[in-house]
Amino acid sequence: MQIHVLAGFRKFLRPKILTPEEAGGLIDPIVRAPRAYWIGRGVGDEYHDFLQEEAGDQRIEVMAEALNDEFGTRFQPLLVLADLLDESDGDPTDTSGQGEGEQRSQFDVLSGILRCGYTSTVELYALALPRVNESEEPWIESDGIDAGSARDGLSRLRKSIVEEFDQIAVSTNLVEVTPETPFFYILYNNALASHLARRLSEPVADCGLLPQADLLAAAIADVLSDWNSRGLMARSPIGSKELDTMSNRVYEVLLQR
Amino acid sequence: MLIPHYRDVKGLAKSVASVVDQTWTGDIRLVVVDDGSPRVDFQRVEALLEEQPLPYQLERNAENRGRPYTRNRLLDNIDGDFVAWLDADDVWYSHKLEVQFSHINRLRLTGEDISRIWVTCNYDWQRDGARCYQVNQVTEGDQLREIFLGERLRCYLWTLVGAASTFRRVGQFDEKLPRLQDVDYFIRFVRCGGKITNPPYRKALCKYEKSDLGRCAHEIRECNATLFKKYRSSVERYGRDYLSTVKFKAETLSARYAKHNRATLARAYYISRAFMANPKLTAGLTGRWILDVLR
Repeated sequence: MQIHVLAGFRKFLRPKILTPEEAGGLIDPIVRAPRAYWIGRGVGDEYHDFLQEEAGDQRIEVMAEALNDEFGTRFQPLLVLADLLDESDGDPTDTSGQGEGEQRSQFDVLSGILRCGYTSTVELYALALPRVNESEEPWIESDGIDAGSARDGLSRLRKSIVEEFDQIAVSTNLVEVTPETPFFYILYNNALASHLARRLSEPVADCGLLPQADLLAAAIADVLSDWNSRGLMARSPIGSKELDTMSNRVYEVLLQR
Repeated sequence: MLIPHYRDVKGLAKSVASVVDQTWTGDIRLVVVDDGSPRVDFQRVEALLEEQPLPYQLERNAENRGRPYTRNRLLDNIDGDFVAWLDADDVWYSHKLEVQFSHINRLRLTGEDISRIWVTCNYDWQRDGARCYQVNQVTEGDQLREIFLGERLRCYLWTLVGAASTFRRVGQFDEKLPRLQDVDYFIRFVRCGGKITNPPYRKALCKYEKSDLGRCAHEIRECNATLFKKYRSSVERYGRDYLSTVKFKAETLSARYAKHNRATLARAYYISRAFMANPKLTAGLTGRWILDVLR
């Protein structure tokens, strides 16, 4: 079985989630991201994080069997493990996977599936913004979501997989997020939202606004939505000046609330 | 995907189209055995299968050998991990396989041995152009008891998905049963430890268009008698009332076939036999019939 894994970066894949159909459409018409309604309603509608839960059941083994039974020559499975690349980066600010209850890492999830023995080939995918003039969009490289960082991350991830599973062929693929990419606006907005959240969380707290994380995220989402509706997002690059304007607008929104 | 065919190319086309339309992402291979249809029909079947996108295998009986023989040839050509059945003119709704395989995964998660499971489904039933209505398969309780009764759990192969090993374990269809060989097959499956289960999905997943036209009342009566002889001890252990109900149902099925094929005398004969088996149920049936006539 050949499986495809969309490994991140998580900054592109949250807060707005790609549906399973959108995730598949981003990669290749032959791939499908499976849902897991056999665990519960809606499970698998938002990536495959549910496989991290240590629920005391055999969900990883069942998922591996399901992928083997339900895919083949017509369609191939796509697992969306949005934090996998960030895990391989060892990003200390990455708060993914931290929640209530015990959680496996996404690398453990992938290893668990590969350990079941059905997989012969893994295609790894990473999203990245293309190399641009650093002076125009410095935030891309500083956020580690440029093509170079993605290639390095994929290389590390591939090495980790091959070290454990030397029988499995692992290939890496870069998916550049350009206006021609399907769902570009979702991915680019997510990256901007992530950048603004990191940029603003401390200053907003210092200002005494003290919003909760979800209030800040909502304010950022409103500002980005407004930029999109005015067609401003289509004008690239989004550089320091534009980010300053967005940040000021986020402050305004927070003050109004 | 096992499909017997005999002289119903249009129905086969409808059925195959419904398989092609499945949302399920796994590989599907069609196996069709034609039971001695005229050459022109067989050529049309060849063309039909050639035009559709799924891989297929087509076999042909040199002469008309009947359904159980044809189904056995289909069994001999199983080449995959899972098996599903379809009869020509029956239609799967597009989510059928997806829902049933999701249920198989649910069962795996709870530790069930799927090598002993068949997954059935609710279905829409339309007989002789009458109003279509949904029939729900009830899989709780004593499945053997329910199979003999044929009310809450019906033995329709075309509703099923199961691991290939489950069909190999049951073996071949009884070729002495030109009708009801699927009932016999279900009985043997349950008796050798198999379990039939229904996904927690309320809607129908397929449609059965049935006609009694051309079906022989005497033949079905004989097949019921064969089944009864084979499994008498199993049926009798459910008690006299149950036994008389099973016999009543067998006779009224023959009466129904006779009615739809305008064999009035035969119909009267089978109704009288139903009365001998269970007067109370026959009185109830007659009462409903009188009300229908008066309406």
